[in-house]
Amino acid sequence: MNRETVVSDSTFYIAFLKEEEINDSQALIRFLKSYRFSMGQVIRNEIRERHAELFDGLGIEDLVEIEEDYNYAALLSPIGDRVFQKGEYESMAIAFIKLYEGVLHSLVIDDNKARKWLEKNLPQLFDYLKYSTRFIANSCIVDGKVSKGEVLKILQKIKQSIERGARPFNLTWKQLGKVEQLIREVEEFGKD
Amino acid sequence: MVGNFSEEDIETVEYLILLLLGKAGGRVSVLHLQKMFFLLWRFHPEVRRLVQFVPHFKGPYSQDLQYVIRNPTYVIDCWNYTPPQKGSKVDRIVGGYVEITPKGREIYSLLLKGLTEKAKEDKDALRILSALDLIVPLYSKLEWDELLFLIYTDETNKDFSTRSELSKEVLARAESIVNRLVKKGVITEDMKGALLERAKRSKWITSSNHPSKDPIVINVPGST
Repeated sequence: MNRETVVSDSTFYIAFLKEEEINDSQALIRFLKSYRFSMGQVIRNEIRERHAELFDGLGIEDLVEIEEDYNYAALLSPIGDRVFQKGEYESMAIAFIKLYEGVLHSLVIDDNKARKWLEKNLPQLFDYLKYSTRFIANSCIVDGKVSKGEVLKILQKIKQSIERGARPFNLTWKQLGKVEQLIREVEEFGKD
Repeated sequence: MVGNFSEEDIETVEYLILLLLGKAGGRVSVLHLQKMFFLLWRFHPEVRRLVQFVPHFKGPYSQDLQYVIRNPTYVIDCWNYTPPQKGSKVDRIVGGYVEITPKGREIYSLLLKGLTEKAKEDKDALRILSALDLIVPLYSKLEWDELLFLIYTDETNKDFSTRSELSKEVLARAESIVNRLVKKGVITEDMKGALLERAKRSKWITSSNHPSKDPIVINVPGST
């Protein structure tokens, strides 16, 4: 079995679709085609609530695995309800089950409160836990699934969006240095 | 049991109880068993088919499960039920304890081996096993009031937590419970504020919308 399944909360998808943020739906499609993304009903609904037209128009539902038969969020809602975003704890539960299945590649979560909780209570997931920007950079420099040019273009858009005052993946001015560092890391990577 | 239950359904419930007990290891209160089973029930469509949960005096409760815990038909001598000790308030609240027996451990090991094999091709089996691995370590280590606090104040369970006789007592000690949860590492320090706020907003807990003392049945959709 290949570890190709990526689980992410809705922040990852929404940043690609939002006009003030990355605003590049084709780049999102590239990621969805390069890995096997998995989402539950909560995450699907969170994305559709904000970008129904794009979600349906791009056929996102056909490009991801929708885990709709099971209520994953129920397993962690006693701890996560109104403490984390509902999609965050749903994605943690899905990732745990994908890890068990032996197919988990990454769990993409940006919220530090949720990451800290995971580190303490589900340490099995820690090695798979990534920030969105790290996941995007690694898609080129580690996984070789997305081209250097494309990843640089996305990271630049993230940087510009932060400079304009938007908050893609909940990033602010304070994290601008980290995005620039990632850009350098990808630039120094040999292959395209 | 729900609707037209079969003998096979009862057997499945008994094996699920054994899986929960085997995973938990030692003595488990009936309250903990009920609540962990409830989470599995909300998660898994096949489990939802087996038993009914209703809002009761200690939150979500299954009469079917209560009966099977005390009177197993197929999985015999695999656990012992100890009723509450007279005079013990905690025992009364948690409804006694269940402990896996040496025979139960043996059958649990075989069951786990068989299910792990089955899970390679069976999606439902895989999800049951992994969900147990996720919830049992998290929730079995909680004290009764910590567990009830988390269940009662979870808005997604609110329809099951409207009639609890313990809600006021549990809410009154919210701060102490949350501090204990931090100390145990169940939550982190920066989750404290959100949990206390959640408790304050949990108006359904003290609601008297359901004055009847008879259990009411709630239809839970496949997923939320």
